[in-house]
Formats: sequence, C-alpha cells, structure tokens
Amino acid sequence: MSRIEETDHAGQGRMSLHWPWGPLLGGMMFATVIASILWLHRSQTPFVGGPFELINAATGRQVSDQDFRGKWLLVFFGYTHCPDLCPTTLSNIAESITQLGRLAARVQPLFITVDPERDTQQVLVDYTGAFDHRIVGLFGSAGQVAAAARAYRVYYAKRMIGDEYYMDHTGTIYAVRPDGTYATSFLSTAGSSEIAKSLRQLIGNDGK
Amino acid sequence: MRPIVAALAIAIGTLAPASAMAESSSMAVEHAWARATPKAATTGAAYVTLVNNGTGDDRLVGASTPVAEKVQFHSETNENGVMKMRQLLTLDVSPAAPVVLKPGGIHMMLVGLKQQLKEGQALPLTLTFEKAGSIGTTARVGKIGAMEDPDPHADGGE
Repeated sequence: MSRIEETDHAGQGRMSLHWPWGPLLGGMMFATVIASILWLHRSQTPFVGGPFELINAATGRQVSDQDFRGKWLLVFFGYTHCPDLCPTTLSNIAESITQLGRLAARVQPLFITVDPERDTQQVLVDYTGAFDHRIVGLFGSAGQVAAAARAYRVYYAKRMIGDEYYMDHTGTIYAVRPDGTYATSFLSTAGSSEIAKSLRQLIGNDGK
Repeated sequence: MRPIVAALAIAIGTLAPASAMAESSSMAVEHAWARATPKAATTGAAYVTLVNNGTGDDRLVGASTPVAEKVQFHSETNENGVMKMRQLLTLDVSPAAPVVLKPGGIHMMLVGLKQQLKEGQALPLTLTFEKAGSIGTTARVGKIGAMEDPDPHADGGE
C-alpha cells in the first residue's frame, strides 16, 4: 500500500515536473513575443509626429501641435529655394484638398521650412499662398525647426552648389489624426488623387 | 551691358524655331517649358527634351536665360526618402535616346531669378552643346507645380 502510494506519488511528481511546464513555458514565451511585437508596434507609431513649437507665417504667432488638435494634418517639410521637388509636392497637396471638397475643412496642410535662415515670414506666406491659401507655412528659430524635424524623424542638411546652398531633406508627407497621433505617410511624389483617396478613407473610418 | 545681352538673348529666343532647325541639323531641343514661380522667389526650374538626331554623341555644356543670373543642371535623387539635389556640369546626349529633363529627375535650375515667372509667359533659353553649338529656344511657363509641358503639342522649341 505504502509502496503503491510512493509510486503514485513519485509518478505524480514526475508528471508535475515534465508534463505541464513545457506547454506552459512555451505558451508564456509565445505570449511574450506577441506582446512585445504589439508593444513595439504601438510604441513606435506615435513617435512620428509629436510636440512642436513654431511660428505661423500667416499670423506671426507662436503655435504648437496642440493648436491643430481636431484637424487632420498633412505635414510636409521643405524649403522655398527648392524649385523641383517642393512645388511638385505642394501642388499635389493643394490639389488633393481641393478634391476632398467639403471634407477639406477638416484637413490642415502644414509646410514646415527646414531653411529658416532664408524662409522668413513673408517669404513663406508668398510661397505657400502661390499653391493654396489653405496651406499654412510654419517657421521658427533653428532650434525650433530642429525640434519639429526630430519629432517627425525628418532629416535635413545644407548642401552647397556653387555659391548657393540647397537643402537635402526628407520628402515624406505625414498624415496626422485629429488627436495628434500618426495616421499614415505618403512619398513626396504621391499624386493628388492618391492623397485625397487615402484621406477620404481615413476621415470616413473616423466615424464623425 | 546687361540690357544688350538680354535683348540679344530675347532676339535669339524669338528666332528659336528657325535656329533650332537651321543651325544644327543634329540636335533638336523640344518641349522647353518652365514652372511659374512664387512672388519673390530667387530660383526657378525649366525643363527640355534633347534629341540627338546625328550619329555621334554630343554634350550639353551650358545654358542661359536673360531672366536669371545663371542656369545650372541639377539632378534630384531620393536616397531612403531623403531628397538630394546634385549639380551636373554637363549632360551627355547620345543618338540612342532622347534626354528628358522633367520634375523629379534632372532640371535646369534658374539661379538668381530677376523676375517672377508667370503662367503663360515665354522665356528665351539658350542651350550650348559641345558640337552642335548654341541653340536658342523659348520655354513656355506653366503652372507653379506643373508636371509637364503646358503645350506638349507645340513643335519642339516653339
């Protein structure tokens, strides 16, 4: 009797050591991997876009990202001495919000200069106004511009050609949700209909 | 001095179609156009299509217009999402394929613009080739963010 008990006990002991732990550990590892992927995914997306403090060229007033809450943002970093890429992107942005019709009232396109040295208030107003008066030009001190670019993970640097400088810069267009979180991005060469279609879907899914 | 040069350039520009055809039988400058510029802009962009109808290679070595201090050739490249502009000192034009300057690729950078470029204007442009020599043409000014020749059906250089 006692032998049987012992055997049973020993058997149970073996079972508790080998049987439940394998799947349990495996399951826990699996859950950890999934959780970290989800966590990384969730924690990475809000890194694009974030707090900034710049000056609205149209008003001359200091603005922050908070001032644009409630609007979908189309954010593009560029500079006015850029004759090839920036006009392409800005006219596509202008055309896309025109295509949005009534929904355009819920979208705010922002053009943030990476060349605050030359892109002063009036230069920016003239520049953005040439494409569409709904595009707001933002500028600031070198430090403010650098902070905004960091928030959006935008790279920019001066490049001398002859005795003039031009700016290398990230050409991505970012779409930001009304709550300030990153929604999606477009290549600088994205056509107006691609941008309009994507925005219409995003705004539609927003359910408002 | 400058008004004389400008007047001369305009005169050459006006004679563009004739000179493009007559002076050089091997090189044709087609679809010359430019983008309108915002008020007070000091840079602009112009584009052309170069067709080498000859048998040997040629090379675009310079360009000028009376509306800008100088004209440079720039290429726009996308390196991992970062747009970079580089200067090209010359452009090879082989008989094998036309060289198309267009937005997002190679453009003529008008540096030191002396006036705002407005849609509908025509600006004289002189291109200098190593072998074909100087060829004058007129660039049609399209919209500010135009992606193509505002009048693609007009004859080359007209």
